[in-house]
Amino acid sequence: MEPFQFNSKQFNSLFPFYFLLNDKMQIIKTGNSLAKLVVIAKNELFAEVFTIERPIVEEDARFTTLLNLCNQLISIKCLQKESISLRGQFQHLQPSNNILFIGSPWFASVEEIQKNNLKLNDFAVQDPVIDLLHLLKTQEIVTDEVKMLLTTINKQKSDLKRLSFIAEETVNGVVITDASGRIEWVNRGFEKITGYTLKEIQQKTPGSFLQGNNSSAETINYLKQQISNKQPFVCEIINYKKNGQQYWVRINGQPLFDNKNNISGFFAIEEDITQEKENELKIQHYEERFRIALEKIGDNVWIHDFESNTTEFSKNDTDFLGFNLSETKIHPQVWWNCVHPEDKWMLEENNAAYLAGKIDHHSLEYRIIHETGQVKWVLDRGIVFEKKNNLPHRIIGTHTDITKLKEAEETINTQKQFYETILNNIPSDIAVFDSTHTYLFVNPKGIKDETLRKWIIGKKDEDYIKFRNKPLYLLEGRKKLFAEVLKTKKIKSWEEEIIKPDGSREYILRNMYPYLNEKGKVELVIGYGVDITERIKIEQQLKIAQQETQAAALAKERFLANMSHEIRTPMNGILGITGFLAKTDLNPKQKEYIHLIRESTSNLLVILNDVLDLEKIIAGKLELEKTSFNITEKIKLSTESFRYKSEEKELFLEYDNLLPENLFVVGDPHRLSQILLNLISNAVKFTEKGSIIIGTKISKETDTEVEIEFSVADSGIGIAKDKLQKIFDPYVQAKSDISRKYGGTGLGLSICKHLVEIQKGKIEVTSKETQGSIFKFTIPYQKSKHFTVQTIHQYNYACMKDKKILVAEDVEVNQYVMKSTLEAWGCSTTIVDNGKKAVEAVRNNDFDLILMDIQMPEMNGFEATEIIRNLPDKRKAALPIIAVTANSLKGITERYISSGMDDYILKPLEESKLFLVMEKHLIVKNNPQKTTDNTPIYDSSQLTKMGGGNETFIKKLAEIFVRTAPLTFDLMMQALTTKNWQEVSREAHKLKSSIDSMGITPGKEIIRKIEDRCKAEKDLDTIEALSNEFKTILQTSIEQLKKDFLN
Amino acid sequence: MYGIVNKAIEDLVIENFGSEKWMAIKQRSGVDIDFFLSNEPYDDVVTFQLATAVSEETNIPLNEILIAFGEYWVLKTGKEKYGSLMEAGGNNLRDFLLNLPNFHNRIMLMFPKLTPPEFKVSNVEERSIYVHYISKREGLKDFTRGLLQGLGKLYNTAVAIELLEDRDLGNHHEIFKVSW
Repeated sequence: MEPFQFNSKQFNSLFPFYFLLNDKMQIIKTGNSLAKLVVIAKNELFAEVFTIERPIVEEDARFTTLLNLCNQLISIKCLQKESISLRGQFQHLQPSNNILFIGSPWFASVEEIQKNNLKLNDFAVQDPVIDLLHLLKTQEIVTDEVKMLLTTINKQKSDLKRLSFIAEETVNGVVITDASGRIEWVNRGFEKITGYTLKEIQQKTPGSFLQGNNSSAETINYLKQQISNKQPFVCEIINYKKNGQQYWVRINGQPLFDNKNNISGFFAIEEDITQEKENELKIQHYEERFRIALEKIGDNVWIHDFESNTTEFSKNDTDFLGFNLSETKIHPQVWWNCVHPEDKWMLEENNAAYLAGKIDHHSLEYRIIHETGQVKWVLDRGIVFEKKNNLPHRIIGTHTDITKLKEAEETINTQKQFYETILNNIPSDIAVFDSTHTYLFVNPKGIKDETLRKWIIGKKDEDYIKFRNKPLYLLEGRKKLFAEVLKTKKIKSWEEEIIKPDGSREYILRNMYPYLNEKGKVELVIGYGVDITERIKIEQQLKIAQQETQAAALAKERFLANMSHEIRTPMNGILGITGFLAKTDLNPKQKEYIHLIRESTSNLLVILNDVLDLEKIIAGKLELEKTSFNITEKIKLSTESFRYKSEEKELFLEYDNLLPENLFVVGDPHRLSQILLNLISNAVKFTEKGSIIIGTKISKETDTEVEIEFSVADSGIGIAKDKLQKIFDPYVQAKSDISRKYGGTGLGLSICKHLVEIQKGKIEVTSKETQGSIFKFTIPYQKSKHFTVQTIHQYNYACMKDKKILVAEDVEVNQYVMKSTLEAWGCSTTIVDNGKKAVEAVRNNDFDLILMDIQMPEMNGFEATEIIRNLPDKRKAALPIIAVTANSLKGITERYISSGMDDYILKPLEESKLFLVMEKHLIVKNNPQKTTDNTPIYDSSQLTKMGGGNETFIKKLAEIFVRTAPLTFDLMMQALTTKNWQEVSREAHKLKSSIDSMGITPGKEIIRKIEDRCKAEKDLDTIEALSNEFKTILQTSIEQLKKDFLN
Repeated sequence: MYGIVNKAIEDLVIENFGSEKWMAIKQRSGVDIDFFLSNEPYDDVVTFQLATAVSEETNIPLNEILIAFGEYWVLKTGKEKYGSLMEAGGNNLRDFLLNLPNFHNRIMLMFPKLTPPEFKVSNVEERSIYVHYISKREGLKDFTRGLLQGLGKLYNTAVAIELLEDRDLGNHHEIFKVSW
């Protein structure tokens, strides 16, 4: 071959990584790309830049060594960059005797080219290193892909395995057939369901051994058709197991295709749905029952299908809509036509909500129009029972006719409105609370602001009070009262005073009324308040007016008391002195004058007493006595007192008594006398000739009560008819000249009428002018329970002998009258003229009784009495004190008694009355054991009878009894202690005759029992008790006899 | 076409539209290949079927799909798998384009079953170059355009691509003028 030459550029283009060594092993030339890769200085020694990797040389690389390595594959490593190796060969060049290295860098990857800052252009175009690296890279990529593919395959393998397992082990039957429908494979589930093994059925068509009589021919045809058409199939069919048992199966099959889209076979899953079918039947059964139940609940059961928009009704013969439906399933329009036009929107909205899936049930009340035109209310309730695509498909529900309910509701609403209108317009605050004091209702009067009224509902009273900034004391009060209402379950009323910001006061009468439920528990509390500010103001004014009236009445009373006092005081003197004057020697003329003075004074007293009595009666201050008295005796006495006067006028006076003898009644004998005296006095006064007849008879009678009719008839001047009605009015007389002619105040009949009426009786008059009058009155009395005897009181002035009496009286003439009277009775008298002196006198002396005037200078009677009652000497402090007063008004008595006085006597003094009062207290004080019952237990009439009216003899008899009876009783008791029964009997016998003689009725029976039982010596254990009982009776009778006869 | 191309299409679809879409595209294309191996040659029809199915399934015109695929091929597949090799192709777009003919000739030698297109360059200027695309396959000029666009992006260079000659218009081959 001919030698050829390259220039440097050409050589570099072919071998850009070459270098040239001289025989000194110096690198004398390098390729452009090598210079880019390794830094080599000019003439640098080979050994300083490279080392030979392969083949392995033992000695240091010398020129000869390299010569020997020519034409071998050489790998040299750069000392500067150990990662860089060059792959190539040495060639000896002659005649230059240089060695040329031709090669390329040997990289492990494409990345190293870039790493060493090389580009493709740095390599010779023919150099395949780049291609090798490219292939290497591709290899790497493919290796990664293969790894990934393996992972995918493994995963698919695992999935397939799992699927195979599922197919094998699933409870459902899995069948794979060939294209003609012959079985290739079945799973264990299929074997289990049918009882056949794979071996037994391979190459058979499933229908050939599974289907039987009950298998639906229609379904079988369907299956055949689908298979021949290579179409998927889904059906349910009855199959038969190997043992002949039938079962329901759901078959889901599809054709299998190969890669060329040719049918390769069929795959089917067969699910045993026998249980499901049974459940379906059960559900159908339940549905039927459910439907029946629903029908019973409502008037109709319906099912609406949203898809077909039809509604099915359970009853087609119902008259619910008013017309017979030929079919239960009706077109919606039929139904919609029945719905009241005003209510259609409700159903439309409801339907839309269902279709949008917003609701799954409903309950509506709307109106339908019956065929007859009548509007009916219907309650329509429904619920979704079937869904498709998560939206309602079918809903079921009921219709109920609630027309009557609605009508009732309407009535209730009207009533509610009616009551609310009342509550809202009633002029009182009304609030209703529950048992926790929470507001349930407030009417507009209670809270005007409507917003606030709504706000308060559900709030407590305290919320409201705090909100309105009302005083907290109101809250506390209300809470307390509320609790009380809950506890007592009774209405509670109170007045609330509210001070308004302007200082004015408002008064509210509040009431809390508990409303109890059936169990008796407080369920609600109704509070109502009425503004009583006006009423309270009027009441306050009335109170002031009342106080003023009372003050005026008091002033009147004081005036009357003063007047009474002022008149009685001088009259006391006149009467007293006239009395004394009458006892002196006087000539007939003087005696007549004295008589006239006394007569006039008495008249004046009558007038005074009449006026005072009437005032007392009108003021309701008259007190009635309640004492037992013999009514006939009383009338006789009253009649007899007019005997003299009537005889003087030559009038015939008669008492026509139709009452039984000894009729004792309980009542006020003095007021009866007052009436009779008044009427008889009038009769005598107005009768100039003829008669006056007093009559009594029983008009009504029961076991305990007796009503007596009294009459006073005269033949006097009579009363004009037109005056009859007025004669009982005060200050009225039948004729205006009567006063002038006959005297009197015109108060008598008025007083009589009042006195009769306060004794629960009636008075009337019949009269004929010039012919006379008849006054009749009735008074009901209680019959007296005790047998009592009216005693004729004996004025035994001698019993006053040596009694030491203190008289406190400031008026001299009265001092004189008092002193003279008392000293005439044998009393020793001390006179003082004021209370202070009276107290002093009591301190320094011993007295038996004090007569105390009330109005005295320095110290009045009340003050003096109080001091005396508080004296340390108990006997003096307990002295009887009798008030002597000219004040006769009611109430004053209580004042005397409450201020410590024992009794009182009115001025002007009457000797007999003074005696009775003094006697009463002197004896009471001296006989503390005296029984409280003043009724004598002895029979005074018996005594009078025995004594033949001889006072001295009667007294003697009493004295003997008082002296001897206790002695005999003592002897009896002594015998009793020694149980000498016969002696007891004898002494009892003696006592018996004494008891009988004195008429001591309560003791008669007892002493006889003692005598008889002791004599017979039987029931002796009763003797002691009987003796003690007798002792009490004996002591009482002795006390009474002593009091009545021996003092 | 080697599997790496089809695989790139698969990656592009999955990355942008998800696996389900890829399954749908594959079903639509009728391609029944589960796994593409990069160095395994596949029928060119497969690639066309896939590209057409992508276009149909995504309602994106086929030419746009091919352009997008060309870019993806450079920026994702090339860069991720042959990054160093690509970068070794040149320091800039111009160098790379100048190396392009050699590069493809090497590939042809390396993968004997591959029928790679042939690239030539002419009219080399400082800021433009003519790229000649000579392929036995039809309808991939848009893919080539996408590749050239992708290279511009790879070298961060804004490029204008002008199709100077078009086989569809009767020329021998396509000539793209790439300017930057």
